[in-house]
Order: sequence, then structure tokens, then C-alpha cells
Amino acid sequence: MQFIRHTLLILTRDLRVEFRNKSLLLSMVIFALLFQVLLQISFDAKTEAMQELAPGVLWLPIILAAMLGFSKYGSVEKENDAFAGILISPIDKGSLYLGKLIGNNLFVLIVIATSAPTFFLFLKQPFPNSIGLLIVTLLLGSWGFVAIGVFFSTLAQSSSITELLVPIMIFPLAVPLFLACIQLTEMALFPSIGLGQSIWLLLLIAYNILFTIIPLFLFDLLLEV
Amino acid sequence: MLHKLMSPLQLALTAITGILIFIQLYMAFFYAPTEKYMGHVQRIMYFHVPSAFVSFAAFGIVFGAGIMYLTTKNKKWDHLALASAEIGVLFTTFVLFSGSLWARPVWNAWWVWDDPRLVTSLILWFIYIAYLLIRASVKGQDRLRKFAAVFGIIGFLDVPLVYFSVKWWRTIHPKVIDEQGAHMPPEMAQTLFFSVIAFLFLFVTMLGYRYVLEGQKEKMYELKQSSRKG
Repeated sequence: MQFIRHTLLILTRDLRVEFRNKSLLLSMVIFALLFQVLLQISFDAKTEAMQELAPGVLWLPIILAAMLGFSKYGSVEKENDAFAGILISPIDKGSLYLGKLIGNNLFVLIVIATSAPTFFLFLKQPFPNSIGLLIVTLLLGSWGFVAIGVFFSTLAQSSSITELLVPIMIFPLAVPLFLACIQLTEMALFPSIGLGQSIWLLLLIAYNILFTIIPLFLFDLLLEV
Repeated sequence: MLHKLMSPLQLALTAITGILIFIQLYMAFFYAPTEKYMGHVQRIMYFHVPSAFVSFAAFGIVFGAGIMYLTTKNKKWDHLALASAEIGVLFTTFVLFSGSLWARPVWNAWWVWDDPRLVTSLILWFIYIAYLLIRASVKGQDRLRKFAAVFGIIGFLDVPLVYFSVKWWRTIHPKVIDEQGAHMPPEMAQTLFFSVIAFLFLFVTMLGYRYVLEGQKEKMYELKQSSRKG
């Protein structure tokens, strides 16, 4: 109970700070839209070719916008060593992680909510084959990516090259997640026989569980210095 | 003079490794028969496969030493992990290069995305480059060690996930490259087996040197700290 209360405390606090000046959320959304447009222009693909490209065009803006969020979300904590204050406060570090994860994920979901409809606007095929599968994939995919993103970007704060180190660390680790998301999105967007759908979903769920549970326990150990 | 620099064990190991590598080179270039279709380029295998073994062993040690460090907090394990990671990256680089050189004439492509082992090696390489970058850029000794240990553990656990996801990714699409039939004449198999042993010795020797160096660095650091205080 205590744990959930602390998680909510961190979450509401972070969100209050971020919503006071909406520049991060706004720039993430604008960035995703802009990048979406850039991809559409640079491929300028015919409908048939788009079948191959569509999952990537949908996911890349979301991933990169999320990437921007990791380093900037809660960046006010860097000033005056405010983050040290949080570490000293008597809250479980696991709830600190979970609170930041939910907050970050909320931002990414807002990005998805604007970026995905725009994607369908540009795509010539108006409706996905299976909207349910698409939503599940987007939810699970964003959660998993944000989970490792928040974990490693918090750790990388002590590095001298934080902004560069974060993508270099998490992109290779996220390869299974990317593959699962791309495959499932392709199945969701276009008519398919759905071969291997359950195995990809299983992989995605396993990945999410793994990278939500591990940081929950390790955060305490890693931030104690 | 020499015994002051090296322990007898290390000296013996170095000598044995030297001899083994010499024999390995002879076997790879002269003893093993030339392959009928691929020709001499096939001999890359005697360096490529052992290097892959070494890199995997190296990352396994990073994983194990990471766990040991987190449980015991003994710096020695961290030194071992760092030494092993560096050698692992070196050999993975060699695996990727030698594989490409072999693939160009045989598969008619420098690189294919269809083989899970290839893609996994590449991702593995990236993961441990990140590991070395962490080691180079994070401030604070204790924090760095813990961070690196955790990354080493998670990175290693991620490898099977990468392997199977790439495998499933490609089996759903048509498969271009099949497993090569492993019908080798005994001379080839012997050479390959011997090469793996020789390379593992090479790895252990290199690891020993690098590990000792890291310990000396640590001692130097402590000396500096204490002289500053005094």
C-alpha cells in the first residue's frame, strides 16, 4: 500500500512539474509529427511498397520522441541537486522507478495518440486490419521501451555523455522488442494469416515483465551511492 | 628480471599459448586439406569459429563476474569483468570481420540478415561497446562498478532474446541460407577442435595480463590517494 502511495506521489509530482510548463510534452508531440512527415516525404512510397515500410514509419517517430523524453523528463531535478533530495527521502527506490516509468509512459502514450492517427491520415489504407492488435502492440511496445529507457537513463545521469550513452545502451537491448513490435504491427495493419502472432505477443509480454521487474529490484542497489 | 614482472604461472601460460598458436597456424594452413568448392577461403573458419567461442566465453565471464561483484563487492571481480569485456569486444570484432570476408565469395554478400548468429553477433558487439562506453564515461568509482556489473548481466540475459527474435523474424519469411552440412574430413575437424583450444588458451593468457594490469592500476590509484592525504 505504502509502495503504491509513494509511486503515485512521485507520479503526480513529476506530472505537476511537467504540466506547469508544457514545453517537453509539446516538443515531443511536434517532433513525432514532424519526423512522421519527414519519413513519408523521403519514402514517398506507393501503396504496395508501403506495406513493407508502414510499421517502421509508425514506430520510428514514437521511439525517437520517447528517446527525447527520457533525458528531459524530470531534468529540473538536476538543478540544485534536487535529485539527491529525492534519494534521501524515505521512499522505496522501486516506487521512484515505477512512478517515473508511468509518467514517462503517459507522455509517450500522448505522443502515440497524436502520431498514430496522423500516420493513418497519410497512409492510403484508411483502416487497420485489426485495431485491437494494433492497440495492444502500441501499449505493450511503448511500456517495454519506456521501461528500459527510464531505467538506463536514470543510471546514465552520472555519465559525462548521458545524451549519447542512453540510445547506445538501450537500442541494442531493445532489438527483440523492436522486432516483436514491427512484426505485430505489420499483422495488425494489413490482412495476414497471423502466423506466429502468439509467439511475438508472448515475447513482448515476457520482455515487458522482465524489464519492469529487474529495475524495480535493482534501482535501490544502484542508486544508493 | 622477467620473474619480477610476471608470476611463474603467467609465464608458463604465455609459453604454452605461444606454442599452441604456432601449431594451430601450421594446422590451419598446412595440415587441414583445402576445401573442394570454397578453396582456401574456407580456412578462415579455423580463426572465425574459435574467436566466436572466445567472445562468448568472455561475455559469460563478464556476466558471472558482474554477479560476483554485486554479491561480494570485491573489486577483483570488477577488474576481471572489465578485462574480459575488452577482449570479448576485440574478438567479436574479429568474428564479424572474418565472417564478412568469408561470406563475400561464398554467399556472394558481405552481410545477410537471415542468419540469427550473424545478427546476434552484431547486436552483441553493440551491447559490449556500450559497456565499454559506460566504463569510460561514468563518474564515481563505486557507482561505475555497480552500473557496469548490472549492464553486463542484463546485456548477457538479453542475448538469447535477441537470438530467438531474429530467428523467428526470419523463419516467418522465406529462409535463404540453410545450416551448412557439417560433413568434414577428420583433418578439418581436428584442426577446428585444436584451434578452439588454442584460442581459449590465448584468451586466458590475454585475460591474465589485462587483469593484472587493472589490479596494478587500482594500486596506483590507491597510492596516489594515500599520498594526497598524507
